[in-house]
Amino acid sequence: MTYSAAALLGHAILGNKHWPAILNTPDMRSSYDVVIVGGGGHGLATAHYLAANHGITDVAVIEAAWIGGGNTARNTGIVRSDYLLNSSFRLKNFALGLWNDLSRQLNFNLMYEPRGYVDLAHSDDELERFTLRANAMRLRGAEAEILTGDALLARVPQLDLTGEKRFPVIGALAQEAGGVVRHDAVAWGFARSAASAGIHIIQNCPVTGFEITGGRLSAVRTALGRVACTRALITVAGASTALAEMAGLDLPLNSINVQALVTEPVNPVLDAVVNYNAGLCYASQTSKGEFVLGGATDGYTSYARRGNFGKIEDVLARALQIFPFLSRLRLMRHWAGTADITFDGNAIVGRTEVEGLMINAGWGYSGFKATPAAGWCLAELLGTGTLPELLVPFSLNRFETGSEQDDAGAGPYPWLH
Amino acid sequence: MTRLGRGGLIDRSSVLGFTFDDRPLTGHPGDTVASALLANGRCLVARSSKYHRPRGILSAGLEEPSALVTVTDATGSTPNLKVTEVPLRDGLKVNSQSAWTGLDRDAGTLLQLVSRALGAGFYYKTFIWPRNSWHRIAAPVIRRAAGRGRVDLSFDPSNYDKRRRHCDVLIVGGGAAGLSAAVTAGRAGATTILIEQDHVLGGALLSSRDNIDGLPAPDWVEEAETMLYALSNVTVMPRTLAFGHYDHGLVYAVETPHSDSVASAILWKIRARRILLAAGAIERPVVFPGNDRPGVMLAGAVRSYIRRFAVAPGKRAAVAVADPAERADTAAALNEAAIPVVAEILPGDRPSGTRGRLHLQGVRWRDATGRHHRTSCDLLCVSAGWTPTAHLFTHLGGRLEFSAETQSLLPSAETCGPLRPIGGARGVLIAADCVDDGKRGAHLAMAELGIHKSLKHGRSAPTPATKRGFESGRGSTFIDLQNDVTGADVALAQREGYRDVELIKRYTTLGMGTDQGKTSWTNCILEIASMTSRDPTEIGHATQRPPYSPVSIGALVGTETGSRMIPIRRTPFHRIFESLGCVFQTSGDWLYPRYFPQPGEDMAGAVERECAAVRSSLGCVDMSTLGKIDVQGRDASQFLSRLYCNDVETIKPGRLRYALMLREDGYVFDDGIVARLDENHYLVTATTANTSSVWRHMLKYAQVVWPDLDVALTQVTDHWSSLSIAGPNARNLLQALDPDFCCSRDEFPLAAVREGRLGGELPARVFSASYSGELSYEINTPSGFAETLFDRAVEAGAQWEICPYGLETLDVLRVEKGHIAPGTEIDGRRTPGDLGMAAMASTEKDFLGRTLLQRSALQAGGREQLVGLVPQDRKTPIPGGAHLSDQPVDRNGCAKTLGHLTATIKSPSLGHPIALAFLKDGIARSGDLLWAHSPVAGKSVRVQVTRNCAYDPKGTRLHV
Repeated sequence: MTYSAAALLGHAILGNKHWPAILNTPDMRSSYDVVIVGGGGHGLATAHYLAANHGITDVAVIEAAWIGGGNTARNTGIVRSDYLLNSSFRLKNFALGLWNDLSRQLNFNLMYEPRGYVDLAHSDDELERFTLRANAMRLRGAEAEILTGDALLARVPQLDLTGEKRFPVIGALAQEAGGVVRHDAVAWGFARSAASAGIHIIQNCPVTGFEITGGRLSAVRTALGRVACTRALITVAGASTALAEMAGLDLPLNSINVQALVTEPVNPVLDAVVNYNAGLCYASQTSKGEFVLGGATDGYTSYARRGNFGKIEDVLARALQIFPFLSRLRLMRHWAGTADITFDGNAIVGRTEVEGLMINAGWGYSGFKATPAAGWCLAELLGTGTLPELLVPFSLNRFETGSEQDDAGAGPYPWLH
Repeated sequence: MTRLGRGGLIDRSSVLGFTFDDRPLTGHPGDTVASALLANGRCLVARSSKYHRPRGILSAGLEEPSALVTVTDATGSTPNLKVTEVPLRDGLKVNSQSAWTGLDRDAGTLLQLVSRALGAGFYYKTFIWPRNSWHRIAAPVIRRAAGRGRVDLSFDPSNYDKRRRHCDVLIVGGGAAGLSAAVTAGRAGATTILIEQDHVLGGALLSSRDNIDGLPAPDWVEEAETMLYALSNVTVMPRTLAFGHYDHGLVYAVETPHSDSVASAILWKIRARRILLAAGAIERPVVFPGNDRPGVMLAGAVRSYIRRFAVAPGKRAAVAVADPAERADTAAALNEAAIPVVAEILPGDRPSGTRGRLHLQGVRWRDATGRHHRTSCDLLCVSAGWTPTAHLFTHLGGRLEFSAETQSLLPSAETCGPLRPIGGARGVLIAADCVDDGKRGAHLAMAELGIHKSLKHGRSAPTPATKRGFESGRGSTFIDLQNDVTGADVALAQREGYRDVELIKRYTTLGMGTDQGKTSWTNCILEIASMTSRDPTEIGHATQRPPYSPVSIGALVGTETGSRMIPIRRTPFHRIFESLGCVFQTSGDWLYPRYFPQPGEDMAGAVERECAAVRSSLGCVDMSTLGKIDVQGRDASQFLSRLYCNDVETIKPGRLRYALMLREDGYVFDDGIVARLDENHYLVTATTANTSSVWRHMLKYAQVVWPDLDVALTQVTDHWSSLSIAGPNARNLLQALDPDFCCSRDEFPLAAVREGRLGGELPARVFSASYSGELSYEINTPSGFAETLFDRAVEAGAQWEICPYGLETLDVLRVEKGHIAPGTEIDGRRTPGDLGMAAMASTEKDFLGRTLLQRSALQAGGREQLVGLVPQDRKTPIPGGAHLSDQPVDRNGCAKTLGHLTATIKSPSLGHPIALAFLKDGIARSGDLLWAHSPVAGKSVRVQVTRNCAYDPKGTRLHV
């Protein structure tokens, strides 16, 4: 079943009675070649690329609740690749390239909108550090610009730079290829593609343990029974520590709340994604007209998936510094997600000490933008057994060797990343 | 006009004028915009978002899904307000939204012709090809069509505020249960707060003809209200919406005060020991084809408009109400307003359609025996049942369960943290039962709090509902009126595999509108149940998120706008610097002196002059923002020795040492000086940027990790002002300030500290330490004496032409010396070795970060090291933010890099540009020629690698 305008019309004439399901409810088999624990964006992308790139379809994606219901459902949909460290840049820029054509590849409109990402600097020093980042991106072949004064206002005319501001806006780094993607659609698009290739996506099935014999993975235990497999991937974001513990792994990461909010929808005002750096607040306007805003973490370890309202007040105060008109709008919804943040703020992707068991964790609140790249690389690792070069810097053992990938330089304090 | 001749809680003696779509209309105090519009015969007030169907007023409360308008008053306009939530004020301009060219003729209705192709999630299935067609073609069109109302971009003159309250018992909702609970708690002496979203108390009682305790309901409300206002321990907060329930008994609410108040909205943070949720229940519409037409109204709303607002919402009414008692009451209300009831549609009947273009003109249905009926009417009163308003119960994780008994979602437990639902919020719908439930709830709460003994009190049972509902005929049935989600959309989501309620919500957008599906969720669950032949109890419900109803962002920010967002920290010298014409710079929390321009001088000129003064004679700079931490105790030496990587224990009293602190992971955290004032007394400094993190770090280790150490920490950053005097004449100035202060080189060498009174009276600590590379003394004096110190320094220093300098010059001087600074060189990824300080990490003692510093990647070759750079031609400025490479950029503008700049200046002392940089194997590359590329600046400069210290590398100037 191919989605298209013609299909929409055709089905409309038939009363929309014959649309096929994007995924079915398969009976779980007692063994699979590969088991993916976690039906979020990363897990489903891995399933898709296992089938698409490696022809491996004897795969089960096992999800505790419903697909895309964790951080895939909770993030603010921003994609970009404006990183100074080469390792982070390469992975996220690879993802950005994939986002660009992913709707076509999946035959599912993910609503990738490269509306531009504008990162505001509040002092000359900060702008110089942004220039350093922009230069790094340019020298590696990506686009980036430094905007100041009228050029910045021309790019984001809604910015209010007048009046007394607590932290002045001096300039900005702009990445035009950055933008937003409809987050839920990512899970659904990958799930539909994987399911149509014959991969089993099993929802409402919590994983309860791993069977490991002689250091090798032999099975995954679930609420619906035992599944024999020699290759599995844990990709469960906020629940990473709990799942890894079942396999005897102690991951260097903390789970910390990150909150986001939307306003009531209004006619389009803001095109770009804008990031206010003095205390952190990122804002964009969805296709439905809602302003989506988010900020830094709540700053303490929690699995509660609900935050402290003080953070919402804080994010809104910062938003009003650049978009004072938001004071006239109303907060419609706010929510929290559990971000798994490591001791250098970067992801842990690759092998574990248990042979056959792979890990994909620690993406914190920057995992969404990497979704297709993570899936692509993990599929390669699971499919071929070789660690893709892009993933090498993100191995778990980097904390032992010290080759950490600390973009923020914030150190072994997950709540600061 | 459809205003009734008498009755109602409106003040007929006063007339308020307002406009709707520019037509002048009138109403009375006590009206909402909704009742005033209805009183003027206006029911069509909006168009739906997707198909632009005509929509009227469905409800009389916050649950309103359809009637969204833009309201303009003297402060500007606010979009998306529900007509039912806005009390009428004189001069309001009310405008409809999302209709072109007008409500009566909306071109958008054409979309209905293709509505089948625009079903749930249609946009996921198209605009896929060609690549980026969504972004380039479809999204701009859809974005323009989406959104409701325009945001007013003009300056918002409103005042907002934030306030706090606390109490024993907080009651959310002022209806039968809430009032009764408040009276009970108030009389028993509990500090009590009653919050009501409406501008009057009473809730559903205001339109009830029931008798309570022998009194007509509205009279009972008045009596209760009188009593509450008489009790000094009770606070009544009308016009206040409790929108969220958070951990530890915290409820957030927004008050919209009377229009004569100074504040437009106030955010209240109320901490309560017990919370009684008495928010009542929301009526559920009947789902059938054409159920969205203006004129279809919830039965409770009809009663409210007639009895509370004295408005006749129609001329001929049909009634489709499930509950017999409510049906009778609705008929009675219609009778009071002399509106004939032309038909009663009963449970088991099958409404099959409505007619009318912009307003309801008739309804048709088939009864249980299969007979077809039709009648003409302009008002259809509907009610399929009631849904408890238990949102605040779920905000902290409380679950709702579908009850077959009440045919609604009920709280699955009696408590969620300190919150207990009472009355309608737990499904008790009969007024007298609600009163009882309120009493019981209050008694229980007070017994838990120990305010009085536990009393025996029976519990009112949730009111059972008729199980037999209305069937639906075939056709387009609207479940979520705001987002135009139909029964067919829900069915499509099921068919396409979006089976979980959370997936249905996201795929169809049901319940994702500004009403958060208050009138649609239960119907959705029942719809899914009937489609899939499942029991509604199995289906669950989607998470309800705060806020309960949208709240003003202005109020959530309060007064923390503009420069008031975060308090500005100013140093004790600020006032005096202002008088000198200093240019300040925001640096973190601080406002810091940046440079001191002479008339007509720009920053570059000022910096050059300031640098020259320091290098040739004398300058002074404010160092007050440096973190100052006082460390005392028997184990102070031991404590600091563990914290810093270099040897600090051997510092003698009266001496100080430059010290480096690592993080646990072995990377450099911060630098500063450790001064030993006495055997067991130290003062240590932290960089301005890192003060709070260093302080937190020290506290953590003192309190949590090494509680056995006898050490007391005090942050004294604000206690001491600090003025650093620097330059060849610094010692002369110190001597001039106090001839008796021992300041000869022998008495007061480099790296020493002296305490005393300057000039015999000014308390001071003087540190001989240098950041600039010149002879320098940091004079600390209690902050209150800062201006005195400055005045004396300037007066005494006049003979050496003392020059105040700022952050910019400070930075230039340190770059010339190759000193590191946080944010640039201390970027969280460097080892002491990377910064050329490998020797500082002690091999003798243990210290924080030592173990992890030994990790292979931190010790391996090939790391980036701090170096200096000079342009090959000694002329071309090196662009900031450049990266280093041993090759020119290729055709694509790319180059493989070996490192990057951290700071770049035009050195006044050396007369040519220099820079600091991190360079792979930098020390070994000394003398190499490289490229510094800055594509942003469009420049590539040939640079030569040098040592990082460009000025006086031997430090001879410090030892004079």
